[in-house]
Amino acid sequence: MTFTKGLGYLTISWGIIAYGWVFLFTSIEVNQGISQKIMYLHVPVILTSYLAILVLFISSIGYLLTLKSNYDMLAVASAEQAVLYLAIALISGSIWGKPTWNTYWTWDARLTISLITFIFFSGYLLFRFLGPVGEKQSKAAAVLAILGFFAVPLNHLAVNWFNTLHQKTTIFRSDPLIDNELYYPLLACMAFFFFLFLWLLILRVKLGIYKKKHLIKLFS
Amino acid sequence: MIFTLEYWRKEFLLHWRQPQKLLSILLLATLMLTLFHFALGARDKQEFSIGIYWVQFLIIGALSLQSIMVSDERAGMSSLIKISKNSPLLVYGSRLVAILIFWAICQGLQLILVGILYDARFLSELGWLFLVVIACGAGFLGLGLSVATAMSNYPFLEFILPLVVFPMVLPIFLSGIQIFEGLLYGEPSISPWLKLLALSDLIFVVGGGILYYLID
Repeated sequence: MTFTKGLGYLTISWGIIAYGWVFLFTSIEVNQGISQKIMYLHVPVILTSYLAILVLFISSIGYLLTLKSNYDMLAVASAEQAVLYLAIALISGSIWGKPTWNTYWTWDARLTISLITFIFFSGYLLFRFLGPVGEKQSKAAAVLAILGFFAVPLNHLAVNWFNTLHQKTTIFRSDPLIDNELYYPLLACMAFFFFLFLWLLILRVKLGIYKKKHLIKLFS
Repeated sequence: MIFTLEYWRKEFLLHWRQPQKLLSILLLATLMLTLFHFALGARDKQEFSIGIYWVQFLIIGALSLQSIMVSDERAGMSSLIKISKNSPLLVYGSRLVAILIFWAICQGLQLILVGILYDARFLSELGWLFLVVIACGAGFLGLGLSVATAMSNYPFLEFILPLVVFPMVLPIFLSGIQIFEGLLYGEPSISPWLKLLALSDLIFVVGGGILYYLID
């Protein structure tokens, strides 16, 4: 069994266990009711999207320094996943917002930043896929990704100076503001999405390498 | 250096020799202001003047960048940069200054137009507002120019360019809007927004230069 296959099995079984735990063994939250279960999707996907953006940033730097195409493939693969997870986070957040804030959308700081980040990385993917393939385009995309990475905290700073409806940091602090009964299944769901990200990343890069080899054979 | 100045002059004249470009931008701005008048109806127009101006800023920005792309595509700009003996960074700097001057003329006239048609306070603070607009234009056009050049041969370029550029330069827009508010209403305090604008300008002008260099 290869590493990728093993990781695939681990991801799927971990997902079944984590979400089984969430739906079968975790109590329903008193104030929000069943809608609180969306948290187990919303929080892990937004964090995984940040991880994907970080990988995109590092691989873009790697590409500019070495000009190795594997870094470029890694950048595309992580950008694709970043966009996917951001889309899921926006949709799930919107669904969660209706019962808790009584609205599907509000121009809250974090929501606005997530939307802007989603639009930017979607634009980045269009930049990658609609244009000609080549070193020049890959270099330009790498610089855009790096600039986009720096734009995220700038946007965060700018938008956060407005008032926000969103709650402050709940999980990543020394004393998490969440009960252990909800906290541990949430960590399990986060681990599932991190495994899923890694698994899909490896598969996508392998596909990219295969496609490249195939094209070289086809044209040689 | 002389050659760079010559390049800058040519680039500026390229825009200036097409007065219909400036005229069409101003006509479009007037049309938008008229439409906003109908949309707002009897409501207090001064309340919306800042928003209206910045919507125009965005649209004119998109149009200017698109016109750069079209002229780049026609002129084969990438090939020209390759055969030019100048450093791409000097070419970038000269082009940026030339476009910024054209942009400043457009935006200055629009500020006056908004001042006349919507909000007279725009005219009393015209000098400061104009400086803010120039500062916002530097970062926005710095990045936009490089991305536009990189994408000059793209299909659907008029749609993708704003998608790539606008989300990144959002801090510039937000700073500009807040500084306008501060200048016209006295609130909020403009100093943190000025710092954010300066930082954003630095990142996007330098980042735009690096991108331009790498396109070569």
